[in-house]
Order: sequence, then C-alpha cells, then structure tokens
Amino acid sequence: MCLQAAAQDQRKLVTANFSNVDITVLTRELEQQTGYYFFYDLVQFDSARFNASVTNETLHKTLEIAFANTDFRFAILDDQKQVFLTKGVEIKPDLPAGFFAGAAKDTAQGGVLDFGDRKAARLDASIESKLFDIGVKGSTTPGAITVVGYVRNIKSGEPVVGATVYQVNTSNGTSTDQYGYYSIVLPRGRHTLIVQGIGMTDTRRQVMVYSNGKLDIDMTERVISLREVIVSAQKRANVRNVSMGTERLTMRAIKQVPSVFGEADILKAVLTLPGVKTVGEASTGFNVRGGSADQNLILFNDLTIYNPTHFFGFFSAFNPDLVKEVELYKSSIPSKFGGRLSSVLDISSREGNKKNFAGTAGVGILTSRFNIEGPIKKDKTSFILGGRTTYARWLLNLLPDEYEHSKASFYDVNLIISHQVNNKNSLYFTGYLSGDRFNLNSDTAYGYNNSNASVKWKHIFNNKLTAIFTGGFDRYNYNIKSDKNKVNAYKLGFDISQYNFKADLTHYASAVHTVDFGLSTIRYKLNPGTFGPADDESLIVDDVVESEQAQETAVYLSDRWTVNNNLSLHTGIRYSMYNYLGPKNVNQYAPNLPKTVDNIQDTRNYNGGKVIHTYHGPEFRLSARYLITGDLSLKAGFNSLRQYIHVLSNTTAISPTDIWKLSDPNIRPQFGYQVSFGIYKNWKNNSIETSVEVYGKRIRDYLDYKSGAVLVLNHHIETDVINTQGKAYGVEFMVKKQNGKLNGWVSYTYSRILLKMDDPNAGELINRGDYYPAAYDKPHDVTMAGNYRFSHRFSISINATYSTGRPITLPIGRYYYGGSYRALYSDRNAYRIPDYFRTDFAMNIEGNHKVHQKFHNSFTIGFYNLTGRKNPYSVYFVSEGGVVNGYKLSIFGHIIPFVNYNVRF
Amino acid sequence: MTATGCKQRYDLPYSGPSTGYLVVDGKINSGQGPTNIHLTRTLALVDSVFTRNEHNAAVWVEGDNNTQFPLNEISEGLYNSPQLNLQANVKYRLRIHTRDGKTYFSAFTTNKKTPDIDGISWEKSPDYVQLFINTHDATDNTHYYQWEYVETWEFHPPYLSYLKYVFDPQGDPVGVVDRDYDEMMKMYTCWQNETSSDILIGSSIKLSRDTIHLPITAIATGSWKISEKYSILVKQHAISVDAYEFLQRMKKNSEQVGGLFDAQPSELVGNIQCADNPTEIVIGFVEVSEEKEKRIFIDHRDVLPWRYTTDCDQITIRNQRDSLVLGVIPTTVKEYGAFNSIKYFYASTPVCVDCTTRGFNTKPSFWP
Repeated sequence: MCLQAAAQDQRKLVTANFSNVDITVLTRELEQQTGYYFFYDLVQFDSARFNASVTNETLHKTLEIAFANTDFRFAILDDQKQVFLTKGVEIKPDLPAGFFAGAAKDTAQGGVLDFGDRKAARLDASIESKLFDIGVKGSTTPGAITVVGYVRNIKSGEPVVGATVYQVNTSNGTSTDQYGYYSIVLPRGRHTLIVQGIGMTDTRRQVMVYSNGKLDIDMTERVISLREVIVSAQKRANVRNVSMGTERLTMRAIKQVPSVFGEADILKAVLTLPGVKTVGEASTGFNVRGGSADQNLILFNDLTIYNPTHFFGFFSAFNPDLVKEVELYKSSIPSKFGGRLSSVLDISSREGNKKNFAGTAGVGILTSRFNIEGPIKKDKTSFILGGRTTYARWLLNLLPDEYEHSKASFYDVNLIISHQVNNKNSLYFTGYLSGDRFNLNSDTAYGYNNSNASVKWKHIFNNKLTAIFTGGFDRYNYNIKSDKNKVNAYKLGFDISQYNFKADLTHYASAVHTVDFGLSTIRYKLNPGTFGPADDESLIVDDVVESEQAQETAVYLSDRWTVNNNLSLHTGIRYSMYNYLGPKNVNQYAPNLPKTVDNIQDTRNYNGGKVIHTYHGPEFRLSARYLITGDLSLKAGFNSLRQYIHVLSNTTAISPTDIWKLSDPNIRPQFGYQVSFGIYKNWKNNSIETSVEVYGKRIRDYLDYKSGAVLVLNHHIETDVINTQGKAYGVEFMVKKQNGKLNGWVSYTYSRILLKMDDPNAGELINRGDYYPAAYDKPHDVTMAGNYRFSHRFSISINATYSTGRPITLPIGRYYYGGSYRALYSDRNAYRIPDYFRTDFAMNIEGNHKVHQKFHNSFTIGFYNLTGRKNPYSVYFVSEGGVVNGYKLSIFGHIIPFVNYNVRF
Repeated sequence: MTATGCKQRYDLPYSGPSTGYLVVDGKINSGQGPTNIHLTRTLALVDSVFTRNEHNAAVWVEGDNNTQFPLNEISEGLYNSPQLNLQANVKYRLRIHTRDGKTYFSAFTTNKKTPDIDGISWEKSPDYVQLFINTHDATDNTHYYQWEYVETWEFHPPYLSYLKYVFDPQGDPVGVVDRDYDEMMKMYTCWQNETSSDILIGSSIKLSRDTIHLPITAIATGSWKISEKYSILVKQHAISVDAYEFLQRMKKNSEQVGGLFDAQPSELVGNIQCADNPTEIVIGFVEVSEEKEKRIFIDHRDVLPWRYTTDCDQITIRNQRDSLVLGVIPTTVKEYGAFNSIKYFYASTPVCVDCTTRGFNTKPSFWP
C-alpha cells in the first residue's frame, strides 16, 4: 500500500529543509510543493517539532523522515490529493469502502479539523487528557528542560497574569508574568501540569517532555463566577509563595467592596487589606505599615502616578473598567522596584480584546464612564480606550457647608495598545491622562493633572532568557490662581516630570534557580514653584523657585531559589545611586548649627549637568519560606529601601497642593528597613486561609515640618523641615474564605508608628526630642469584607471597618491675645480624634447570563456608612467672635445611598 | 441628599493646666503715644473666669544702655506708660517680675520705624462696605506690618422718649408726664465702639514695591455701625519678620485650623523667656516699634441705600394707674383726653428707646 502510494507520487518531488518546525509550517510547505491537502487534528500535533532535510524526494519519503521516531502516521490518498496525518493509529484508505466509510466520516467531521481552524471559542475538555509532546522526540538535550509559553484567555486573547503553572504533586511551579508568559523547568518524561488563573477555570495539561519547547495554554473564563472573590490561583498561593506581605486583588474582588458612590474604587478596596490605613475619607494617601503616604510607589502599567486620586481623594484616579488587577507589596518588595520606602502598589491594566470589538459603559450618580476595546489587527494588535468624567456641580453638595459655593470637575483617559510583533517580540503602549479642577468657596481656583506615557518591548531571547525594556514619561503638576483682588491677583504652579528607562531581564537558569536582573534610571525635573501676576493690574512680581534635577539609577540582581521541596529563598540586592544635578544655587550652612537663614554661609552656583551631590547605597531584599506541610508554612523576610524624593506637607492628608522635593545636599534621602515574620495555614482543603504576620521597621531621615513652616515658594526649604527618625511595628491577623456562597475576609491589625526629632542642631525640638506618634498612627484596626451570593444573579456585600482615631494636636487651654481668645495647643499629636467605624452595604444584581446577547447589564445598589455614624475627619478649634469653639468635621456623616448601572457589549 | 459633610460641636476630653502660663500682649511704642502691655494667664478651655489678669507685677522697659522705664498698672493686668522717650539706636526689651517671684525677659529688639498710613479707603458693594488699608514705604524697608483698629459709631434708637413715668412713693407708676429735652436727647444719641479681634498682618515682600492695599474689615449692609455716622481709627506698626511669623502661626492656629487643606496646628514660640525656667511656656512677642494711626469717618448718607432696621414695635397703653405696664419706656402721646390730659400713649422696650442700653452717651473727644 505504501509502495503503491509512493510509486504513484513520482511526479511530485519535494525539496526542503525543515529544522524543528511545527506541523503548520511543515504542511504548508508540503502543500505548496505538492498540491496535496493535509488533514489532521491540530491539537494532536501542536506541540510536536519536526526535522527533515530532503532533496527531490517523494512526499512519502519526506513524511517518513519527518515522522521518524514519532508515533505519528500518515496516509496519502493520491486520487483525492489528500494526506491524513494521525497519531498512534494509521488510516488505511484502501480498506473496503463499506467498512471504512463510517470511520472516515467520523474522522473527517469530528476528530480531524481543517488545519488552522480554531474558531471554536470553547476548549474541548479532551484537551486536558491529551498528551502533548514537547520538543523533539529522541532529542538528547542533557539536564533539565525548559518549557515556556503564554497562558491566554481563549475568548479575548488577553494574557492571564499571575496564573500558576505547576507540576502536580511537587513544589515545582512558576507563575505567569504580566504578559501571561511563563517558563517552567521540568525533568525529561511525562508530567501533569496544573494551571490556575484568577477568574479562570482551572485546567491541566499532560505533557511528554523530550527537549526544550513551547506550550501555549488557553484558559476559559469563568463566565459565571460570582462565587469566588479571589479564585483558585491563590488557593495555595499564600502558603506557597515565598514573598510575604503581598496582597493581590482582582477587579472582581474590588468590585465587590462597596464604595461611596457605587463605582468600584481601587484604592478604597486596598484600604480593606490588613496593614493599610488612611487618615480619613478625604485623603489621597494611604499608609502601609507605618509608612507615610509619599512612601508608596503607585504604578499603573509601570507609569508612576504621583497623585492617584480625584476630588480631594474621594475617588481614585483609575478607571475600574480598565484595571485587571492590583498587587500591593508591603513587605517583600521585589528587587526590581525601588525608590519608595513602604510599599509598591502595582496596578496592571487589561489588554484590549484581540478578537472582537467590545465595550462597557457605566453610569453612577456622580460619574459616568465608557470604554471600548478591540483588535486593530486580529490576534496581533489590540487597543483599549477608556474615559471617565463627572457631571460636575452636584458633587459639591457633599462638602461641608463652608464650601457651598465651590465648583469641581475631573476626568481621566487611558489608552493601551498591545501589539504582538512575532513569537519573540511584543510591544505595549500605555497612555494616561487625568485632570482635576476645583474652586473651594473662594476666588481661588485649584487644578492638577497627571500625564503619563510609556512604551514597553518584551523580547524573548530564548527559552531561558526573557527581557522587558520600558521607556516612559511621567508628569504631575498643579496650579492655583486667584484674581479677585486685582493688586494681589496671582497664579502659582508646581510640576514634576520624570523620564524613565528600565531593562528587566529574567533568566530561568535551572529548575531551582530563576535569576532576575536589570537596571533602571530616572531623570527628574522638578519646578518647586512658579508664582506670578494673573492680571495686568497685579503688582505681584514673578517669583520662581529654581528648578531641580536629578538622576536616580539602580541595578539589581535577585535569585529565586528552590532549595528543596520545603525551603525556598528569594535573595536580592539592589544598588541605587542618586545624583543631584545642576544648574542650581545651593546654600551652604554653617556646620553644627541649625539650618536657618541666618546661618547661610555661602551660596554656591553649579552649572547645568554638573553633579552637585551623590547619594548611593545598597538595598537588600531577602525572603524565605519553609513549607512544614502542604498547607502550613513559615516565612521570614528582611528588606531595606532608599527614597530620594519627599512630599512636603504639613496637612495630615496629601492635599493637591503638597509639593514634592528632591533630596539635595541639605536634605538627605530617607532610608528604611523592615524585618518580618509570618505563619500561614490553610484549612478545609485550602478554602480557608489564615495568616499572622509580625513586622518591625526603622526609618531614618523622614521629613517632618518645623512649627509654622512655610512650604510654598520657599527658596530655602531646608530651613523649614527637619529630619526625624521613625520606628514602626505591628502584627496582622487575617482569615480569608475564598470559595462558597459566603466569601470574604476579616483582618485585625495592631500597629504603631512613632517619630522622634532629637537632633540638637535642628534648632527646634519637637516634644522635647521624645518619640511622638506620627499623624497617621492608628494602633487598632479591624476590617471585614464579605460577600454572600444568593444566586448567580444576586449577591450582597458588606464591609465594616473600625480603627483607632488618628492623633491630633489639641488645644489644652486658651488665652486672650490681640483682641480675641486663642487656643493653646498641646504637644504634637498628644491626643486622638474619636474612633472610626463604618459599615457599607451593596447589592449586586446582574442581568441574565446568556452569552450571546448584545448587552449585559448589571446594577449595584447600596448604602455607604450604613449606620450614619458621624466619623470625625478632623477636630479643630476656631476663634469666633472672641470665643474658642471646638468642632469636629465629618465628611460623610450620613448614610449615603448609591446606585450604579453598568452595561457591557 | 443635601450636604453630607457636616460640622458639629465638639467638647474636649481634656482640661488645661490649672495655674496657666503667662501671656504678654502689647508693643513697646517708640513713637508718640502710650505703651500698653497686657499681662494675663492662659485659662482652661472651659473655665468660669473670663480672663485672668496678672495683677501686681513689676514691669519695665529696659535698654541695652542700662536705661529703665517703669510701666504702671493702670487697671488690673494692664501696664502702661503714657509716653516713653526711647532712643533710635538703642535696643530695648521688656522685663517682668511676677507676683509668684519669677522673672521674664523679652529679647532685645531694635527700634523699628513705621511709615505713615496713606489712607483708609472703602468700597460699597450690595452686601457690605469693605475697608482697605493703604500704605507704602518709599525706602522699601518695612515689608511686614501689623494693624489694630478701633471702630466707633453714633446711633439712635428708633423712638424718642418724650414722656416718662411718674412713680408713687412705693415705686409703682401712677401716670406719664413730659420728659425734659436734655434728658430726652441723652437717651437718643449714643456711641459704641469695638476693637479689632483678629490678628491683622500684611506683607509686601512678594510685591515689587513696598506697597500695601489690603482689606482690613467689612461692615455688612444694614448694620447699626453706619446707621448714623461711623469712624475707624487704624493703628499701624512695622514689625520684624520673626514677629510676622509668630503672629501668622498664632493666626493659623486659632483662626484657620481644621479645613480640608488647613495646616496642622504648630507650637508657638515667641521671644519671651522665663529666666528661672527656660522651658516654661510663655506666650507673646514684644518688639519696639513706632505706632502710626489714621482715622476716617463714613456718614450714613454716603452709603445709601443702607436699610438699617430694628425689630422694635410700640404698644399702646391707657394712661390710668391700673393699665400701666412695667419694663417699657413711654415714648409719645397717642390720644389726648379732656383738658389736654393724656388718654393713651405709646411705649416700647428700653432697647428701642434708651440708647444707653446699647452704648454710651458721652460724645467722644474726636467726634465732629
């Protein structure tokens, strides 16, 4: 039979050189040369590689060579000019027609697909039981074998980030990076890989590993997945992960946390995590383990967002429809991050749908939002564009009465384009713009903007080495304008820009070592203040505080080392260097005297580009995990960080008018280190997670302000700030239930942050040089976030939070001066405002779940501050008509109902 | 869903130190006119006492050339010298011996020259009259200013009291008779005054010339202050940058704390120290400075329409012993009876008739 086929095929000779090609390349070439059509099941062939070098050979011979040492078989039907490729079994086309017809029909219509036809958007369950051959059979690559590939959402083609791929019944595993890329080292032989992705249905692959190869894995989305807050990717992650103090929230989990205006809010959801606190509702910042708000690095697709909020902090500046997930590092900060002391909040966006156009729209009581996504070139290039804006004035009724004549509005726009150049190269573009304008009951108008853009190039050198190169630009600016009093009409501006370049490389060295290394550099340019007349009649003279520039460069090297099945280590070192650059005039102060204007000895002028001052030093990142049993582990970590940029603020919260300051010869960078220890235990088949983490922290050279400091337009800001030393410690308990109708988490945190200013050369001691609590020190904190699902279409969420009131400086007496009573204040932060308690409630109602309808609707209805408690934001005292009166100001002192309508198409 | 933000009264969980700290309020006036230093003690926030004056202290102004000028306590806690004759190139300070045996010194400061006030201007808008202070220093030297002011105004009650009650020996009214003209006018024309209760400071340091044009106070339309005639006396002092910052801090602490963007309160360190205990808190910043002053008048006619109204009303009373009402003052006759006797008359509450209930009736010396 075979000979006969060969004899008839003398006319079609093949000349080709196939080297490690896949089946599509092989068949396409052969089809071109011979005019025969090939039929086969791609699923059976997609991981196989073929080698054949032939000159004027028959198709039969060519296939024999290509399929040598494999269990692939072929059958050539010369009459029809068809070739059937099969695995294991051979088709015998010359059997009696009656005997074969049924089988042939089955094969043609059921099992065997026309090649390349993978339109089916649903994965066949049989793929899980299929055995994939990886690499070239018979290959004799020595040692361990690396298998790489992408994990993608089969429906949209988006990468699945943070999915775990691990070898069943071992601790050998890996997780996908932000592009869905993974690399796992396996011994030769047959294995089962388990793949778990957040929001995706778990899947598994049977693989037969021969040599280095590629295996792309498609996962199906859980279409109806209200059931789970954080789905199975994290089932064992908390126990198995080496890093400590890392919290990952998916957008789905974030959407279940009720927020004040019904729109999912990333920062508010982050605040429900243990160890994360805020000084109040109207504050931009959050405090992680005793860090100040400026010690958080907030990244949106690697863009540095300096002001992550809108409208005094009531909203976070991230469009919830574009965010895929949020990761907060509060203890083990990977070596690739640096530049801030306390935490990294890494927000990653979704990628546009690579297959179809889609979009969402949302209408809330204050804001509306819209986004659209789709392929620019199918399966290659996609975009996603989103925007939000306010309906303006209504918002202002929420403010205390004093601000009733205010105006405010904001917007944000995001554009993300991803393009797959080829198997080895991908490009990503992210653009982000946000803006706020407001006017607080006065003639003074405030505004601020974030503008950011970045381009990333991901390159795969080979199975063992991948790289990501990122270049970007970030800018934040604010301006204030007042023009009522013509003589004094002014405008005031501040801006900071940075240009970044980063190279992050990962080397999958062996089954037990993964090495990350790279470098990053940031060029800062900061205009601390420009002040000038806003009007022709104005007598205001221009006052420009000299601009500042600096370069921050770092290199890092880290190793993820699986010592044995129980012990894993992450060790890393980062060396950062900071150069303060000219042109600049720098004041020199008399040594050992307070930095005051009177003590300026000299002012030195430096030319452009000249290095004025350099700070540098190593940062260490270590963490270790010891697995006692499969669901119980111990972890320990140490990390140290340096921060070269500071926020100067003497208000408690970050306000839009705070200024950033670069370290200079007179203002030292901040340095901090943290030691942490944790126990993790899962119960009931990993459905309940519990953890206890303890940490201790030291901070050096944190900037606090002198009494009555002037921060705006100060040409010698170093005279108004002081370096303080800080210590923080705490313990965090968490119980989390991931699955079932009832899911959510409860956490309790005890933590302290104390500062001390005891440098006698600073001129003025705060509280006589004793330790005093920082303004965001809130020792006790209990947070509960829960969700109960009644049906696939209806669920309720409740969250509740209690915390100690934050410290304030209180008046302890009064006196009469200048015709009025005035308050006499206590030591700094000697008292506390009343404790904070709030409960929120939301109902999530989904429209029907028919997959093919044009629009999917959902509603969120709920109440913020269900108990209507008047939580004080601040307590203050005002001299009114000669009497000192105390007031507490609550921002949301009532129950606030909200409704939000979302549509997806 | 109206205002969800809210401001509520808040009572402190804490009461201050019982003894109180010394508070020194005033300036050493190197120009024409008196020097007044007011010594008080801080009070607990909730305290029955209105002020606690520091009585029986010994207070001097002393120069670094060993000259001394004593101040005398003219009323409780107020130490005064009608005129100090200070030399321009000598530094002066305040020295205080308190009754409890402690000694306090202010820092020596140079004698600051104060430019004259150029004028006090005002503008009327529908809601208020806004007053501005205008000044400049041709030598571009002063830059930091402080002002205080005293407002004085003349006013009338809505009703003239032509009548008065006649009382029997038991003190009960028996009827009304005409009031004599002088007595009537003493109840009709009065003055009231008010001193500034905010810290008023200004700076021209950011301007290209040492020129000040700043709002100093505002009078709401319809206020009784310009119901007849109004006057304001503004006193101007040149101050040092340190004093300016001290006052700025005090102002921030007590007038501007607690808003969304207002700064945290800060410690207040002045230039006065207790010689016996340097860490003791003393509040005050005493400097040597010339005082310059300027007065203007604003007449009711200049601000029309002013719409000054009162809630006053008259009642009708029958002029017979049993119908007379106590607690009111008779004004005019409503109806005469036989033989020109008064049958009915009008009356109103004292505040609507007798201006001395709201002011004083001695014409101030500067009043035209």
